[in-house]
Amino acid sequence: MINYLKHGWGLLSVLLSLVVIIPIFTIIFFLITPGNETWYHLRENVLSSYIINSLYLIIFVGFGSILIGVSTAWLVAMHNFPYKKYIEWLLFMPLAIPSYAVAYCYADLLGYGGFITDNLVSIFNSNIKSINFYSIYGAIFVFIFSLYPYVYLLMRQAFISQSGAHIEIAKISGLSVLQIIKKVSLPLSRPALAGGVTLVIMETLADYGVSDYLGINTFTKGIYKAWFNLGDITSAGKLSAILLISIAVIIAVERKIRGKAEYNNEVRSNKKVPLKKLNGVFAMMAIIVCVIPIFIGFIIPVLTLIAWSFDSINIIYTLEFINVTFASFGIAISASAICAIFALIIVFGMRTNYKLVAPFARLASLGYSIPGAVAAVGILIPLVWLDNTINNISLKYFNYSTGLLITGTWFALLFAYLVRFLALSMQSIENSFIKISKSIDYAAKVLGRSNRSILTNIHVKIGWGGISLGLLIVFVDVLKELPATMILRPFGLSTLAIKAHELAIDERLNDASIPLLTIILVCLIPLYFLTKVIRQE
Amino acid sequence: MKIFNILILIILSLFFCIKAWSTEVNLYSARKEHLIKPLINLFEKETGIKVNLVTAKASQLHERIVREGKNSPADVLLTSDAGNLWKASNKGLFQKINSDYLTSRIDSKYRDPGNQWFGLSLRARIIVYSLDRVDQNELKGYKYLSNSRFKNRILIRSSSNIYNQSLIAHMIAKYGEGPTEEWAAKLVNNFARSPAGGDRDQIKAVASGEGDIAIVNSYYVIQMLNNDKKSLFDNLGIYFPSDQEMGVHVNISGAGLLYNAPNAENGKKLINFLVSDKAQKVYSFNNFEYPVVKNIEIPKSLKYLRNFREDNVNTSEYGRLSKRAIKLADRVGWE
Repeated sequence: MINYLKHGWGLLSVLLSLVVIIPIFTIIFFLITPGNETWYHLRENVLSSYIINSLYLIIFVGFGSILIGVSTAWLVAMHNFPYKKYIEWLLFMPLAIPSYAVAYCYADLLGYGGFITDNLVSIFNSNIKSINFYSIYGAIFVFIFSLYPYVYLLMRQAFISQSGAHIEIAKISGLSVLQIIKKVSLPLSRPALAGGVTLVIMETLADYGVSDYLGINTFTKGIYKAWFNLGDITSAGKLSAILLISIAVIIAVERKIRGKAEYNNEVRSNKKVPLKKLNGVFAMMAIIVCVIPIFIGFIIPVLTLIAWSFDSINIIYTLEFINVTFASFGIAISASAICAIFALIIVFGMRTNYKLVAPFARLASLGYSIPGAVAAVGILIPLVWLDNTINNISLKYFNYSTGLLITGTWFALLFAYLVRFLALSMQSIENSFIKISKSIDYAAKVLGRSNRSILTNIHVKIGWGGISLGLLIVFVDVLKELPATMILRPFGLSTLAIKAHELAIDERLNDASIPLLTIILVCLIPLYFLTKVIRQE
Repeated sequence: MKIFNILILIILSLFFCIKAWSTEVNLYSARKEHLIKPLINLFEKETGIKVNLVTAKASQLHERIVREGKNSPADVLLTSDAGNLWKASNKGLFQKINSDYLTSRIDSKYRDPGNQWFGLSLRARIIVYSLDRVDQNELKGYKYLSNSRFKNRILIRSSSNIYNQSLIAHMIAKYGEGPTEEWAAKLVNNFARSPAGGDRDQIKAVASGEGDIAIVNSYYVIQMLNNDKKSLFDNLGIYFPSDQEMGVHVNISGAGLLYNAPNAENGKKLINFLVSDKAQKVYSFNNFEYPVVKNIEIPKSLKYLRNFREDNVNTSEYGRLSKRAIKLADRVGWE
């Protein structure tokens, strides 16, 4: 009993992680089912090229997003320059546009009769009528500029919370700016960097929309090919399991290399990193570096969408627009709150009992790398099992059939979001908790505080920036989420993302622009509150 | 804690409320909401039966129905492409409907031989070509597109798209697998670029000169020609590929009544409604598809595109042969 109480938080964390792990394991179980004819066909004919394409993608997208994410985060977090107040938040905005929409925009702009090609023709008198965007380079371009904000956001948070003392010492030792970045700032924020890049890679791998539209055969396209085309969910499950395990291995290796180093602020110093004021040419350069990704990832696609929307403003009346917007907002808010609560407890549990909780926590955050539709099946299987069990019990004892109680309800949908997006809140919360020195926990304990009180009164308060960041990212991702929502949703529920996708896939891009623009507008609401939270800090 | 208990009670009672509806029908649709919403509204107004709708991709809905099993709330499955309908009936998801009304209105090649599913609208896979660079006499049936004169001139989307899978399956039904594989290999050789984008993108690529001949679905062409940017596409011609052996490849969208349908009667009413004159008109006027029922009024833009010879193969063949078609496409490197 005493033992149980001592480990209470750890056990609770394990329990919550297990809930999330069940669907993930359901998918891994596909691995041990025997292979069939489809499986062999895929393996012989197409799988190797799919893997190579995916590797290509994640390597280039990974490096690209590090380059943009880290440089912009460093500029914004350590310096002062004109318009920084706006740039800081605009840098986040590409996340609010689904990547497939960015692909549609650029393919159209560069295609026949598109804005860019049309102007090339008239300005330079060129005879290029279209530029081929349908290639792996196009996909790399799209992913880098729509996903770098993950790296940017986590790194910005990490840079800001770094103690100024480290940098001061480095300066006194005569290191140059670049050396400081290389030897002090970056190593100190390694967990954040690894976290951000992992998110980028997982999202790239799980993508279907972009690679399908641009005609690139990626691993996930193979998964969907097995299922949607060959009607073979088993092979799809197997491939997803392989994807999952490879990502688990990559993460484990990174952690192993990172070693036992702890990244908290043992150097006690109230001093924040002093902001360096940039003037003249340097300020201009900083602005340019930050504005390029904003332009490519946000402004150009948004302008394109706005231009499209003029042709189809009437669609608002036919889409039950208000309902759909409220429903999207509602599920996004509830899902981000649920993810945050789970993540808080699990991350805190890891702090109190790392050895016990960590393996479960790491497994639980793998859900993000499962392509949404497959994750939905992983959720459907245990839920229907539970429903049928309840139904059978009810039939046996009350002679009343309950039918499917949970499947096809909001509950199932929220559960799906939890499985898919827990990693997002965990990353941001873990990164903010890591900076809280363990000595604070010990001091609080000595002063007779309970674990719960330490969590709610100390960690939540110090780590509020990270928590709200997690809320925001999950909110935005749920708003964009497509396949799991489609498969698991209850009757009558539709979201902005579904509307946009159905119109876009029907090649009615003009009409799709309205729900897409609304997604961006809805994202501004939590973003506004986040800026307030962070200003207060 | 009290609030928590009350909340649970409310949620549980909600579940039971949902079950209490009676004059309703649950529709799982792989056709997008904006396409079928007008039809649903008409049906609700006419019968007073409430339609509960969920849309997703066909195979996702199949999976949901299979997993939900005998307690599945779904009554009717609506989807495009005969291949998808065949797959559903092959998994035993549908039940047979005995209805003279349906069989008399729908040509036998556009419904399941066992009457498990029924075609509701038609679309043809046709050729859009450049008037400047293609002589119409050059064009014959689908088979002829593998001729080496079309090298680097042909545009078509990926073989992962079901429209192409059904076309290949149709060819297998017509010519056998060996000759079709040979044909597909040569066709791939004639591609102007590796397949990407949707059907509209292929049409645009003909207009921009990336290729000369695009193979696309009929309603896309008509939608594009009705668009205000149509001057961009002035130099395009339309051709319905057929030769002595094979007529035009026509596909369907259709529906079936699910095996465990809790509201089977209402489900039948819905399917009957969808082949009524009123509903059939919606298909052609809103979506530019051809009605499956003969002698239905169609919009002007469709009229001059209706005179073609449909092939006589039963559309259920598209489904039966689709796996072989997909693997064939993989083998010849049709991306």
